[in-house]
Amino acid sequence: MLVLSRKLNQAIIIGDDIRIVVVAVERDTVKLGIEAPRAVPVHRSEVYEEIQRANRGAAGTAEPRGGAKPRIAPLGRPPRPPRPEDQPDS
Amino acid sequence: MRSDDDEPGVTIELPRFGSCCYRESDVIAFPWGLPGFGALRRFIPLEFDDDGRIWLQSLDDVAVAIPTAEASRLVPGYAPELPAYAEESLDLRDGAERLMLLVDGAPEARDPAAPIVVNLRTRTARQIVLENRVRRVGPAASVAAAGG
Repeated sequence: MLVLSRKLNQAIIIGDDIRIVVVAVERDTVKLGIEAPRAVPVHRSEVYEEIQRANRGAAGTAEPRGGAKPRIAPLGRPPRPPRPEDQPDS
Repeated sequence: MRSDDDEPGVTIELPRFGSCCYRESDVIAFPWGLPGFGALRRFIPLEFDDDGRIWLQSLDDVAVAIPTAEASRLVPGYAPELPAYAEESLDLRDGAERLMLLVDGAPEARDPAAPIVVNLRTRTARQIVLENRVRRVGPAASVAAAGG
């Protein structure tokens, strides 16, 4: 991990278009200002990590009721008429 | 011009669900991955019954399938304001081409703050973290324009 020391109002730059400024230091809290393109998501790490854990946990969810065969969910499209290869034997 | 009926099907064997046939137009691309599964970029949406659950089945790792459901089924009236990066990165032009899913695992894992937003036109998707405590102040500025 790269470790940099910065004072109040000093900044670091990531790439060409992300700038992080130390806005305030209060006891054990550091306030950071982040300038980044609107297309770049910025999250607190603990929030993002919680989503990661939830996704991994959900992937371990029990399978659907036994014996059911999967089919493609249409997601906004009209259901497609089944073709023979859409109905595997297994 | 090839019609949808002409598109060849691909049959895959899924360890959890058995055989399944899909077509390339069924694939949903996650160009930025999914939190927790960053290396997996291609999924197909599977359903089994009419219970509303949609399984995002990875094509990159067939052992991975994530249960989801349309957000409005889990959270009536669900209509969060999406951050600009979501609209822009997914090239969402209007609401009709937008579908929002929520991961539907254990009840505590149904996080309405993390919808999977699908562009139905382009079949691309991204999980968006709605962290409204992050406040953007002022316009984005390039470092070069700010004088370094």
